Amino acid sequence: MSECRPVLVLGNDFSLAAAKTSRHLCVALERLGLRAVSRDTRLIRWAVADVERECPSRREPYEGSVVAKWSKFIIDYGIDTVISLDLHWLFSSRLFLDDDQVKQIHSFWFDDLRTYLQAAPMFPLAPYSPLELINRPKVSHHCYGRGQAEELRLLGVERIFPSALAASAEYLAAEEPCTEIKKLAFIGNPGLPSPPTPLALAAMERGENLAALRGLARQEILDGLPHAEPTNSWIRQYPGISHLLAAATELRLSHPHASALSLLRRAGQTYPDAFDFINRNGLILDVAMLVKFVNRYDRPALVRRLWRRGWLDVYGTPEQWAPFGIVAQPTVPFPRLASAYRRYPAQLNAANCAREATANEKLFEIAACGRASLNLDSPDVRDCYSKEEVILAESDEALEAAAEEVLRDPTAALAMGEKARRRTAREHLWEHRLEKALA
Amino acid sequence: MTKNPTNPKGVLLLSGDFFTPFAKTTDYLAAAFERRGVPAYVRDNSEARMLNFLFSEEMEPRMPVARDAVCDALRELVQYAEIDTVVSLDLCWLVAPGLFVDDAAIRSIHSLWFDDFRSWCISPLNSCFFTDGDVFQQHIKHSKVVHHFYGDSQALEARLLGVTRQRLTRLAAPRHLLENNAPCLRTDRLGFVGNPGFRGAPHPGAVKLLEAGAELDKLRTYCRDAILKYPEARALKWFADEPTVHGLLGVAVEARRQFPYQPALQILQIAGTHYPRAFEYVNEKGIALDVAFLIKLVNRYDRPAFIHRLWKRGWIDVYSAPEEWEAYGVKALPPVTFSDLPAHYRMYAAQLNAPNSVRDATANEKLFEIAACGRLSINLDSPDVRSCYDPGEITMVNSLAGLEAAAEEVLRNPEAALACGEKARARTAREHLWDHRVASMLSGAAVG
Repeated sequence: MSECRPVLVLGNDFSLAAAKTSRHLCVALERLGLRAVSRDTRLIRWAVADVERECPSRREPYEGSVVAKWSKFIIDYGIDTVISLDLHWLFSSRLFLDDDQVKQIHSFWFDDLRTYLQAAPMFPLAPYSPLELINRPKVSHHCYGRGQAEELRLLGVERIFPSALAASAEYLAAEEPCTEIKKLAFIGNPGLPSPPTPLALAAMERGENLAALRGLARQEILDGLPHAEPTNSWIRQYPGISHLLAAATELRLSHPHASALSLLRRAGQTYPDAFDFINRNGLILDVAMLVKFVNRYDRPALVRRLWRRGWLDVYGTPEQWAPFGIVAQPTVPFPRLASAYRRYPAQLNAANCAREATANEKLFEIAACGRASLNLDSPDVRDCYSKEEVILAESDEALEAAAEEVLRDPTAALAMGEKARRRTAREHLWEHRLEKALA
Repeated sequence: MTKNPTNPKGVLLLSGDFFTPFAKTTDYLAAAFERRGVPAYVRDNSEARMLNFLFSEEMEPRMPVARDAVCDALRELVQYAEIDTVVSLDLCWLVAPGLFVDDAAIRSIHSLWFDDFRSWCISPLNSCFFTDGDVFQQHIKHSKVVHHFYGDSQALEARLLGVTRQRLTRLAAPRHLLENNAPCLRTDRLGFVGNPGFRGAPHPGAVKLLEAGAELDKLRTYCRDAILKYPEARALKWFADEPTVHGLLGVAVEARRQFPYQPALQILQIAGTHYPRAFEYVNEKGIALDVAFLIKLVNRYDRPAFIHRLWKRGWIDVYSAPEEWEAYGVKALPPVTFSDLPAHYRMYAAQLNAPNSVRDATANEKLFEIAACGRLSINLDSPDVRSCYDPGEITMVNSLAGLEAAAEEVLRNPEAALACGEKARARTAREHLWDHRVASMLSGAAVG
């Protein structure tokens, strides 16, 4: 990369969290002495879908205009490096992939591959397949979770690099005092947007532990197979799929943080024909998603457990929390995140089961703000912080006990947060990730 | 990162990437806001404009849906990023009803003008969504909108349209240019990066004059006469409707020849005192900006003449728009990318700078960027340029002969030119960075 050439950072405002991260990446690039320009793709995606639906004959000219605009942009700015938080930018090879001036494309994965592939692509892929596009030699894929990386490898994606998420250095400067020492906080949504089943809600109400809730979620998955699409048609085509899924979800109960794909493969050794069927029919990622759903109540259950004790303030989309019986305060806007983190001695952190990557961005942001986070113990989280820097609980009961300890001795939690902050400053800023990626 | 209590919570910077020089400046401003500790988000409206174009043709019934899609995207960003300030280098963002002006979360909107009012208003690509005249006027005159102009003439034009909340905000340079220390490799030539300004084939007579080495005044006189002798179709209609318009224009273009840096609109207003009927006609028909545009064209060969004079001597490398320069007999090299600009500026001991006559504002962005790169620029001596830099920091000339002498001096003594460039760099670091403009923008100084 030329020293003076700006790096183009591409986001998608459909996910406003990506807008935040795009900005953090730009700030980090500038701190590294590089120049950055950031752009968003939300409107192009919307427009392409609408034009394709309403006036297909105009789609090609529209694509031509978009490509022409970007081509000029790349030339005039002299851009040779692209960082994309949104794979869709790569789906039209004419935008960046075919452009000889663009030497490197770094694709940072924030979502799971299946979700990406199910969303409408920006432009039709022909004549290339997604794999051909994203495997171009100039593209590097940076994954923050083992599960993501495995899914990509399964699909045949090359040049995959583990790259944990990180925090913006500006969080290190946050100084707001801890004023809510009698409570903890959780900032986020329940994970899956769908409400819990009445059975699950009742189980949470009874205070069932995670193991029980995972068992319940597993049973819901298996019971639902014949009653929903597309699972019903899979079973009609190959009934053995239900056995494969039963085995994989059973494994997930005993290995809740192992990647869904590895569990599916292990189950496939017992049910090779079923595995062969899902493989041949391109259903592996869809089936893996069902395996992930064994953990669907992890996050809401942890939140609910502390909420019931009156120990937790929850911030997020109130309508999504209401079905869980939780009254959430409105979502915290980006600029207030640091002060919201620092207002409490510790923050609850729990992974989104759909992502299957437990070391989420919040883990690093809470730490950068000098606050302890309470996490379920998982290999991804343990790779980034020690138990002197974050709280790693083996179970929900242990997490509840840890929360009680924080409220009893907030000073100790604050000291832990300071250690986490120092570790973040040394190792877990976006600058660290970018230095490695662009090296 | 410097935190400042007067800082906004978040800034949304709106760009139009169809025109990359605006986009570039938007990114420079964003970097300046971030250095001040203000989270800055850049969003581009070229897709919205393309949609508008597309939908107005074949998908007109979908237009309201498109508008909602655009507005929803930005509203959500405004909400989650807690944006309270909008900086727009593209007016069309402001005239989408309900987007920013009516949003209670947005406390202030700064509209930075880079183009002249007329060009903006007549461009078919400019409106993001169709709005009738009242909506346009209400939005741009809204109390939370401040219009920043970099030249007096622009400000005057805006005032004519009734835009009173305005400030003179000079253009500037991005901070990173101060750090470029690429060597000066060409002391036998000067450099110029840019196009001829006014797009359109030059008059053959003007090219002959250039070839013959005519001075600026002669070229301006030629333009004055050409405007009157070979009027465009619209002007012919004005003359037919109200014959005194010809006289009004004649006085105005002559005044411009004599006072080449006086705002065209001011000249028109003064000339109007001699031709009240014609001026009334111009006002009634709403063609004041069109007439002012013709007056500006008296200077249309200033920039080409500047370049041509040194080109003929073999003293200059010209970059950008080779096909446009060809008509002037100048063989230009390919354009320079933005990222390569600093090294290009620094490759030469001095750069030529000349304003685009259409803009009617002489202190262009290049003036500050060349200075930030520590290089001397040779400019026409105008009040706008003089108000930003002193002799010794830049060179100002009044004629092509003066230009030639200044260029010869640079070639003879490049060390002196480089020393001037260093002074210009120091002045830029003190006064003329986008960081300074942002600070001034946020200072809340009185407008009007």
